[in-house]
Amino acid sequence: MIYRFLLLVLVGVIVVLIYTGIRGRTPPIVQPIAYNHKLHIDNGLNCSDCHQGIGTSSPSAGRPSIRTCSTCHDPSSPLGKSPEEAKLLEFIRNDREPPWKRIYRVPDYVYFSHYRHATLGKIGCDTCHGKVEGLTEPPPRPLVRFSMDWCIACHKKNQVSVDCNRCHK
Amino acid sequence: MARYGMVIDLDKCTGCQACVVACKSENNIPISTPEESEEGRKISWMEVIPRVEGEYPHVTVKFIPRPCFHCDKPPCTLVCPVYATYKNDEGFVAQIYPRCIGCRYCTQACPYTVKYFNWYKPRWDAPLQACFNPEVSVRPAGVVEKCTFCHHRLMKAKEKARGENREVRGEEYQPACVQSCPTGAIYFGDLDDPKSTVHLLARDPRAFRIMEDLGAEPKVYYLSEK
Amino acid sequence: MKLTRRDFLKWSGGTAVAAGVLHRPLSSLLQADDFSSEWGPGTETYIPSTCLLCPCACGILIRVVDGKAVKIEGNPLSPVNQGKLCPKGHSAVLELYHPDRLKKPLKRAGKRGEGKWVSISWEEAVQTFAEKLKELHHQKKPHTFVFLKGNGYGLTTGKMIERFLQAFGSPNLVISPSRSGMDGAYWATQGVSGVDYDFSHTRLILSFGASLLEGQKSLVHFMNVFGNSRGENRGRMRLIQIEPRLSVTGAKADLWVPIQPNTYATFALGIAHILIRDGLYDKEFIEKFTAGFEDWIDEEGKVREGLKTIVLRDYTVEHVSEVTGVPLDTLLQVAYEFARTRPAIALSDWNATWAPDGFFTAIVVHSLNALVGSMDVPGGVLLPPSLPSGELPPLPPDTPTQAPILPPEKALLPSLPEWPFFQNLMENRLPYMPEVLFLYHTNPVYEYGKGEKIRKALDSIPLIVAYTSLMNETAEYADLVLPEPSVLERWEDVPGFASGTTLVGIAQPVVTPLYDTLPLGDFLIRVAKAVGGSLSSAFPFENFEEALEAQLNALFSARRGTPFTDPLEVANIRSLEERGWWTPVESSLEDFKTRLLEKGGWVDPYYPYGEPSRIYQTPTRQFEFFPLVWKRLGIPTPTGPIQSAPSDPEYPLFLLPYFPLVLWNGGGELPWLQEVLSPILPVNWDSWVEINPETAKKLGVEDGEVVWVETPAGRVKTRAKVYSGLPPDGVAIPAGLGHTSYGRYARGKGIPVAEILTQDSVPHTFFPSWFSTPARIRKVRE
Repeated sequence: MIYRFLLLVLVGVIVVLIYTGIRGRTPPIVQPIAYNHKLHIDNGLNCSDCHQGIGTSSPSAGRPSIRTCSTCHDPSSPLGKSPEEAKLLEFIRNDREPPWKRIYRVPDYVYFSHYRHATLGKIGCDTCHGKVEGLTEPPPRPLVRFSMDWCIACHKKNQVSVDCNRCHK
Repeated sequence: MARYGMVIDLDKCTGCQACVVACKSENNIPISTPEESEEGRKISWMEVIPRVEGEYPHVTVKFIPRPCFHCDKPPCTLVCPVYATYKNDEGFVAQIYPRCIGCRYCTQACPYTVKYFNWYKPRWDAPLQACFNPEVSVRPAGVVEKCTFCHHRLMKAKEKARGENREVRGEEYQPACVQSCPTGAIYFGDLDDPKSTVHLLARDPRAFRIMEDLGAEPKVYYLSEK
Repeated sequence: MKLTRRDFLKWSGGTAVAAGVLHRPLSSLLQADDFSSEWGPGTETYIPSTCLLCPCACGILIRVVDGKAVKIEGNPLSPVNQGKLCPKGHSAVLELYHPDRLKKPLKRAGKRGEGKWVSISWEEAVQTFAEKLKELHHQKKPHTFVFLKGNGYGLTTGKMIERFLQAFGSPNLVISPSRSGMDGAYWATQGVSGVDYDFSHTRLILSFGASLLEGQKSLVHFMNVFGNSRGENRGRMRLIQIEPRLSVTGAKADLWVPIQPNTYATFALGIAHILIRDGLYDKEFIEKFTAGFEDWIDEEGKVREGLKTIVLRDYTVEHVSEVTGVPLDTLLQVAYEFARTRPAIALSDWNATWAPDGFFTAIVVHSLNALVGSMDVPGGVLLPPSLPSGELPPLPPDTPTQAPILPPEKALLPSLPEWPFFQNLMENRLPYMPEVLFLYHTNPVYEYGKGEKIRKALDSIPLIVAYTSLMNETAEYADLVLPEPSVLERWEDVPGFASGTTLVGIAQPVVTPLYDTLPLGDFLIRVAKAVGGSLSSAFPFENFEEALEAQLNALFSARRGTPFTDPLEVANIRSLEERGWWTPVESSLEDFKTRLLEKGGWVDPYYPYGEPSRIYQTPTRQFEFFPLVWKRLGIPTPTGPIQSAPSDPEYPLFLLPYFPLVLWNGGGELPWLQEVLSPILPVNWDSWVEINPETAKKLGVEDGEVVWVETPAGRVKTRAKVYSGLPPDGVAIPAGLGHTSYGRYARGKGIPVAEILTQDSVPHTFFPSWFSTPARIRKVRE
């Protein structure tokens, strides 16, 4: 009896190990530039100043392009002494987009529209993205992990359609 | 709520297959290889079906474009064991790929053979995947897929209309095949709206539905003199 | 109409779904394939451009998402296609992202045709080519530079090619054969090089085998018109299709008239006979604007027979009915309908004119328009007005001109035809050998089905340059292969004409070029600069865009037309221009050009009717019927009906090649098109031979069986498809397949029908004579 119990515990431990092991194996996301969201917000910028899809009819919030950055950051006169800004200025100088990595991603079979949620639904960015504005460096993993249950819970709470076809594409 | 449907004028259709190719482009339909095509595993949500009748020189040829009919009483949804295909509140027969277990009961149940099984993992010769439509997913192997009436276009149109505080206008939402048809043979709109073209045409003396006696109530009507 | 589920299963491949096992490896359950795009800026735009995949000049809108061309739609403002598009237009994205596109200029490394290449820079390519040209210049033989031009549709690019040759001193611009096939008739009867038809306003079209719904230079425009004359508008325009094999056009016509192969001319003259006999022709028009109708006395005092005499004597209805196999009452019905419906158009294309008597056929078919007075009237035959042209510096007057490379025959058309060039090259009969051969949008090694012979003949040419975006059969044999930007990566201005509306479509780059490519115009400018001298001064441009800009400036200062705009505004401009007025929509040149690029092109809806001196530029300044043309060209007047059906007991069948819509003007290289080859027979990625069910039964051939198709020119193996739209003594094979190169999607798919055609040149027009091949079917295993 006691052996059976121990076996069960062992199996449990192995399962937990495998689970955390798999979790642990997703490598942290490293961005080409250690972007400081807090610094920019503190300097009076809004999310939509750089993620320019917000507030427009675009389904995408928009990854800022270096054209957006270069409205403030000028390669000939850096705003500060940060090595991260220097990296950005190098990209601007070479007219090359930094290879930003995507952190929040819905599966390919899901249609998600920022226009519908953020602009029309007036849902705050932090609902899905967490407190990004307080981050001094890019998050290595999503601050909020979403699953379909999570989406549905919100849809039900707000009495929005839960028809599969509305989101599955 | 709008009841979207289609009317296809066979007297206008010239079998050019612009609708077929427009659909391939819009919906990221995988490109078949000659071998797959030979085995009948080519996927074509919109298909032009020819009918040749008679003997030389008394021969007639008809072209019948065939999308999913989005039946009001769809036989395919009744047999799905996992609710992967169902008729939604807008009247579309939906196909939810992540739910689909690939049993293909629905492909058997559909009298119009509009459902296609994905035999192969999606693959595109690089860089062809650059022309993917971001609004449509790429289906994995082992699921059944079919025409959606370009439902994603309705989603976008609805979003736009909501942003402007109005209803979706008739011409705003058209599937890719309708938009492309060079002879204007395909009409699309709200079958219940007495002012819409499809409403009127569905009541035309030339109008009929295919295998009407099955009672599936397809929302695709055809027009033909003969 | 009754359809069963069986029909659907048969055609949609549902049968395969019924069999098989659940095929879904566990890994795919755990891990979905991720095709979601990289994280882009999320920008989406629609950029207008012009389709360059055929001569229609359809306006297109390209949906560009994060810098990638995702989808192509029709431009609703284009008067050609009005927002619609054919399957080929949609496939232009595949042309852009084709995996086998040439990425850099290539220079031959091994022996010719060995397939060994080294990548070189454009600088080196320009230098190599320029050095050779300089050498020719010093040796005083610039005429040995021969330029082969296929179907590139850019107006400015075309002008630059002509200018380059003139400034360099070569008369040898060789043009690949037009599939319209009617050019010879326009030139002979009207003295003009290309007419068009007012499909929108005509009430009857009498088509002698023309591929109106499958391949012609107004395809999408015509499909628009066709759709508008069916269904709720039935009867607005009737279509009568005369052809031996029931084509898509025939299937959709109001009346299909099956006819013996190659008897189109006789049938047309039979109609002329009825029109004249019963006095149903337009007497006023004949008197005022035509010559050669009545008998006349020539300068030697001899009486010459005019059309009337010949037709009344030689083309009696009984005789025509017998020759053509068309029942008497059908012949009469067609003739009376054509006579009594105004306006009506009679036309034809390569299906009738790439035949031994093709020139005669083209002329007599076109003459029917004159008989009913359908020339230069709404709903009839129109001549597109000339386009405003950009000012270029004059060429140096002392440019040496040698005789063109083709033997001095009675060349009818102003351009040199490609097929006799290769015939003479193969038989070593050219007056002098080309030193440099430049191929632009042409692939003769494939096109004429004489691959080995042409390749061998090319051996004697020191430098061959091929300009193409995909490696093809001829380029494989070149010394330099230069990559052209795709349709969506380059500038062009494309002339178009849609039922009286003249237009110029602008093609513009919609994505950043994927590879190290260069538009031909830029290449020519760079070469001109490297060669120097008069060639350099003929091209005072930094790049092609400057040259194009000069052309756009000309459109602005022409004081006519407008950038594309909505149909109401266009109608308004038409009515203004009809009264001789014009008001500029844009105040400045910059505004004008901006609008041009925003809207996709320029349109002038005004057509100047009633300018006979423009319409008839023959020596008599009138429409000339064939007896007069024959005399002018020194061709003996035919006595009795012309007929050319082969009667060889060894080869009892008549071979009818044809182009399905998606293969007309190329298309086999694009996989979406390979999947929809034929709307009538469900074959894809492969060729087939169509056989009448009776004939198949007699030969013991089953549908889908692989058979030999044998002709005096050779044989090919392909699968048989039984099609009852084919006459019992005919076989049909689609053309445009069977490439051995041209990218992975075209290579090895089907068979090239040109290889088994006995093609001579059509007298006077020099088209390859495709419709003169007898054939037989043989089972692979008896």
